[in-house]
Amino acid sequence: MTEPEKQADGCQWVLRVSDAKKTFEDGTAALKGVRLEVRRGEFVVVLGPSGAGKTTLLRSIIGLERLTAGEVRLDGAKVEPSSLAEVRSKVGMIFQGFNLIDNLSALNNVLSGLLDTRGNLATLFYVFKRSDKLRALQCLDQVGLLDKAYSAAGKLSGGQRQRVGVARALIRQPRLLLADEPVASLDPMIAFTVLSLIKEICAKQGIAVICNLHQVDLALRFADRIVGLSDGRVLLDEKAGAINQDYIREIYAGHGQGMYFGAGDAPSDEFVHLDFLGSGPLP
Amino acid sequence: MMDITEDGSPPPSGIGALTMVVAPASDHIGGLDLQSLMDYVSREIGMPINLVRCENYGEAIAALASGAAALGWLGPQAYVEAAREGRVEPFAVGVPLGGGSPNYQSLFVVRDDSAITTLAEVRGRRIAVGDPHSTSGYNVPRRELADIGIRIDSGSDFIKIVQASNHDEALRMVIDGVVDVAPVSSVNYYENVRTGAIQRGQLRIIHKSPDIPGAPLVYAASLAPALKRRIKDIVLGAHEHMEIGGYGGALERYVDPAEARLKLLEAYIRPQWTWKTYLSIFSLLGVIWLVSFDLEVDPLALMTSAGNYFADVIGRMMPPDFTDLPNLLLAMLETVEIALLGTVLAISISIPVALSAARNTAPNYAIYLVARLVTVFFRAIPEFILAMILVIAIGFGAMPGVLALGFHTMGFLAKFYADAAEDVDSGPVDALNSMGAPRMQVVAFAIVPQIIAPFIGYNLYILDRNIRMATMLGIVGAGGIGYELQAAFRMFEYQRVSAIIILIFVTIFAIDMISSRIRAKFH
Repeated sequence: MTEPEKQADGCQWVLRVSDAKKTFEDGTAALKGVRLEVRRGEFVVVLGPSGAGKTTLLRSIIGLERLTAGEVRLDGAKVEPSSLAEVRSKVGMIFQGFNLIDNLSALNNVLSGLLDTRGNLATLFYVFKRSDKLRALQCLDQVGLLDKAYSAAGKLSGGQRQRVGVARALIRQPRLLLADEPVASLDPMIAFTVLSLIKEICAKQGIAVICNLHQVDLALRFADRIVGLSDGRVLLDEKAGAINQDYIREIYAGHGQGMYFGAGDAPSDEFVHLDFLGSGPLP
Repeated sequence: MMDITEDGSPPPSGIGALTMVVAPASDHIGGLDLQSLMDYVSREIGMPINLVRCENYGEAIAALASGAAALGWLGPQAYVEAAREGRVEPFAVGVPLGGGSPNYQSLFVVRDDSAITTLAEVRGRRIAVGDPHSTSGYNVPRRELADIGIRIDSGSDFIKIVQASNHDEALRMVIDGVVDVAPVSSVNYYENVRTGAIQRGQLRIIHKSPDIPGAPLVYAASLAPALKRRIKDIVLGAHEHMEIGGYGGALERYVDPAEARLKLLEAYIRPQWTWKTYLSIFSLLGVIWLVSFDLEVDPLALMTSAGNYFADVIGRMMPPDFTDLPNLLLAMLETVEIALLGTVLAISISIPVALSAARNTAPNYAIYLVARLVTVFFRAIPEFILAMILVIAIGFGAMPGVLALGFHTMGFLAKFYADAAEDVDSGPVDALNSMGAPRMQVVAFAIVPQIIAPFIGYNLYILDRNIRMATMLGIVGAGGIGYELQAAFRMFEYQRVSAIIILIFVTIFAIDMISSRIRAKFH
């Protein structure tokens, strides 16, 4: 792995999101001025209830959404339509639903992470260079799945599939890894192993991670820094060790489940009074 | 004498002496000879090295972690754990004599006269396994067997499971016929073959695992960097000066762990397309060529002589003759009506047939079989034949056309619906069953809504197909535009023929536009 060169301006941020605003065409404001900075090798967990804007934030970092205002800079380069290829080549992504190609082998799934720079006739027929295959096998070994290299991805267990997803992101040798609820569809034990793996590998290779989560316990366990997002705003941005755990547990894992997040906010339209009419017998 | 405290850390095991801990290689008693190598290293660095054999893995790891030991050999499994925790670093991996690679495999071995030839056949036999800590004698074979649904740790898949104390004992058990099969380390197996303990033709390998990385020699992470480098250099060069030993007995040499890693990954490279793929492609091309030869199909002829005739026919069809348009339109309408009625007939018969022909909705297996048979039967008889029979039975007109189309395409629709019903998500079905909903209501609530989109799609496709087929049915006297078409051909009125073809095309095109509109509504 090559050591990433120091940036010209001496800035140590891999990613800098400043005053990001995103309003969708239907008028929904998903991001209302988000500021986020991520250092090299840092594991940042973005915590927040559904609809807080976590996914929109990740999508705008790789240019899948165009910001209404503000900007995203990756390695100092602004994310805009003309720089998308360059930006995406530095980013690996892991998805909640794994998004693997089930009928292809684990190895070919990992190799698919290289396709942006291997768009030739040979790869159209799944033929890759020996050096690329070795790299893919190395990534599979890192996630402990070398012996499953030739198993169809669809035949693997959930945890194994997400590990293939991690390997597919790693083969890109990214500067930044984006993980959108990577363990939401896994059971707690496996979720723990997968996150440990991501954390361990990325720490070792100096890859910055932004990981969307809604499990407070996992966030506290793995994050270097926790960013609390709610209703499109950053309400919290602190080192994981310095956080008042009771406070964060209360707002995310408490009865409100984020519905009452931000004391001043009026209940959102998600709030439904379920027992308004009582449950007595009808005439 | 070198300065081992140059980085400020305390010397790991007392000034001037090093300790090497060796984990119990439970499967290699006597197969782990490190004494001569360490004597050599000791002479080179001018420091005594004490070789300590530990009782268990934990003890060895603890000694390396605390700094009580500087060097160690932990076995593959324990090494991985210790290395993940950052307590030890690998510096050399042994390459067995003649192996060429520091990696090894787990081999499933049977007596040569055994009937077992594949891994799946070990089910229900007697097996000798290694210690549960053993990689090649237990853990890898356990995973390999689990992949094909056989459990090494359950009594039900084997009639006898014996735990051998090492690979040599497991091999002896197979030779003596105490067990039928045993998974053993390839290092041990080939060492036994080399020394003559196993005769040629005595045993047979039925399965080879993927490569397993050989366990490296490690040093404690806390050891001084200069000393680490020195020891590594000495060990990697040792084979030039002496006969060396280690894991698996006599070794060819020690290699850098990075080289060992590369060897391991290389062992996993397979070509994307194997000879089987090429063979299939060439066989297919061969069959196509042979069939063309048999049918005397010659693409070249089409381009030359036949091409001229073709141009002639097309020329005679031009321009299309639309003078009799009102009559043609009426005939076309009749065709569409026949197709429509046939399709409606097909749909209404196929629904009950399909419900009986889907495994998850059929009342019982007998009905399921009968229903499947019915669908196959009507698919098998071309509507053309059906129509001919019906024309004889009930006379000319639209009726035989409608019946022929209806029954033939019922065969298709019932199969499509039944297959769609079998593929539905069983969750909602389970939910309704668990609440005691009656059988037909389960179908109506949990299955029908799930297959409504393909249902509409298939019906529209069948309608499209029936219009095309109905034009043909006229030829055997079952009414519609097909009759006009045939008459025009008989009278050599090719310009009228082209007019009819254009009419059919426009009709099908219009139906296609309408059906995509309808389909879009249901997606």
